[in-house]
Amino acid sequence: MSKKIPIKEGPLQPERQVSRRSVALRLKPYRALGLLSPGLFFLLLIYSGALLSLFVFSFFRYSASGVEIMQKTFVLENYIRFLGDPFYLKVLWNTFKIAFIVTAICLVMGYPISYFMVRTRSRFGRRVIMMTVFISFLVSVLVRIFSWIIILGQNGLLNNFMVLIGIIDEEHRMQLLGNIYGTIVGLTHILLPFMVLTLVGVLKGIHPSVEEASQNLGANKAQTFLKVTLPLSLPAISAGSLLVFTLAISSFAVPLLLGGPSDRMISNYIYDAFLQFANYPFGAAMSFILLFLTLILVLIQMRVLQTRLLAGG
Amino acid sequence: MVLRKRSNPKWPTIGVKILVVFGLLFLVFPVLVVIISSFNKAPFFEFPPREFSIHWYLKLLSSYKFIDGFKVSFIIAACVTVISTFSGILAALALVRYNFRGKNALNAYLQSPIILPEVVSGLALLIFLNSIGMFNNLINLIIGHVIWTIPYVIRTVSAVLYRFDRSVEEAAMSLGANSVQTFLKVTFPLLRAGVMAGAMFSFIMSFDNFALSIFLAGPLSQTLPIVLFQHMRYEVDPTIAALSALLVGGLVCLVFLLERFVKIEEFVGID
Repeated sequence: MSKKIPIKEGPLQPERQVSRRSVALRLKPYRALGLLSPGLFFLLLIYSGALLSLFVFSFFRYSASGVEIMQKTFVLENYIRFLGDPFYLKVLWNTFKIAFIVTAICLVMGYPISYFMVRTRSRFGRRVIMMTVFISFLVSVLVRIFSWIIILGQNGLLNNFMVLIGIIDEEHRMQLLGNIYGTIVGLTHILLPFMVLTLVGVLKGIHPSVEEASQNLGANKAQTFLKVTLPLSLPAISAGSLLVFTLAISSFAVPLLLGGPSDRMISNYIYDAFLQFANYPFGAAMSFILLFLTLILVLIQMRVLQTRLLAGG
Repeated sequence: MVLRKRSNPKWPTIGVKILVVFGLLFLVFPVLVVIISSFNKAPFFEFPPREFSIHWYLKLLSSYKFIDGFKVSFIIAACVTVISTFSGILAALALVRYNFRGKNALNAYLQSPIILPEVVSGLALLIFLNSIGMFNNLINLIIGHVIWTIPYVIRTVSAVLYRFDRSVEEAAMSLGANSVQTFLKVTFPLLRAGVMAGAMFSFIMSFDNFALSIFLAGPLSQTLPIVLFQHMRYEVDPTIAALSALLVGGLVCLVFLLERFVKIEEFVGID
């Protein structure tokens, strides 16, 4: 009788006969620990230590005037200060508002690209889209911010062009930087590749035959899309949107350089607390609020992806 | 039997194509504008450029600020790539090949630095590393970047490992190779694609990192993105365009080089 491997290794692994030796290799858990040790050193020891000390710091008391800048106590005042101050609640609201708008734009722009990439028969077309999206995904965030400064500035490309063709006149150049428009455009540019790559990963799973079946049964392309493709791509849409939203609420460089003082997001205030005031406890408390919100979003995202797997999509 | 006549209007297909082209132009256009304007002679931005010149590139190469930033970033990215790739390969092997309690939770935890806000990670690492007495900014930056890039290596290497045919290893072992020999002579060469993709991700992510670095860097370890940021904050001049063009050019070369060895599509399912 053949000996089966007692370990499940994912659906694609065929069951097969194995030698005793390789079974033994797989069953020694301490080997796994050995292999993981360098990764665990960085992520379990240092990273967990860091998050833990951040948590502890968020309960310390900050005193700008004292000899010691921090009192090592246990107070909730940093959290209370954030959650009780309309100014910071406005920041939080602003962060969510910008993230929501950016996610919606990314979805509307990203879905057609991903759908076309998954369905096109042209290999060349697919390759061009893939490389464009992939390279944009990797281009430095600061380079992209800089490019939008050139384009959206008062004497930037867009304003010059509009003056040239006479849509606006010289005195009424549009203010596109240093306000919410700059932030939204910049963030959309940075997060669109994330949306496309996530959508493509999930949309690949929808077999073209279901669409063909719908069309064979008399639906036209628009009907097929609305009644078949769109419902089937809902998991992709939620996965992509949650990822983009999560990344958008923690954005830092874009609101700092493209947005104005009133469009700053929570990350900017965390940095200010650290840099301008050396108020580590308050920065830590804000960090934990942001971390908490991110974790909720990540958990929802994991839930969504799991449902997709269970549904066999 | 009569087939119902299908009414298939052309507009949806054309509409989708227009949206696709618009989306791709939105991604590419700004970067092209930067590259083109880096060759403009005038010290302000005009588009299209009137006179061609490489003046700004020469200015860039004589600016010690940017050269130093490049050196710091390059050293950090090189160290990070080596450490992350090494740790990531081993962690991926453990996560794919072994079964133990809490494996999924551990996997999710090891992937978490990508998704958690960089500013939070930066502040946390700063507080922690300073409170255990580590004030060497260069080492702190390397540690921070390693944590931020290991997940990419784990992902790319796992992607290859899941498709790996174990029977070749078993063949090597039944022919008398021990497990270390099998790994070095059989497993590792087959993992090459994943390792190269992971190493490339690590290098680029470390080289470009800004939000983590700004917490961990000190006055003597200003990485290139930080130098760029500080320059950009106060003046916008074509030197930055020249630097941006060089960075994009380097990136494109790197991606096409990688593409010769690796099918990139296999590694970009980011979810």
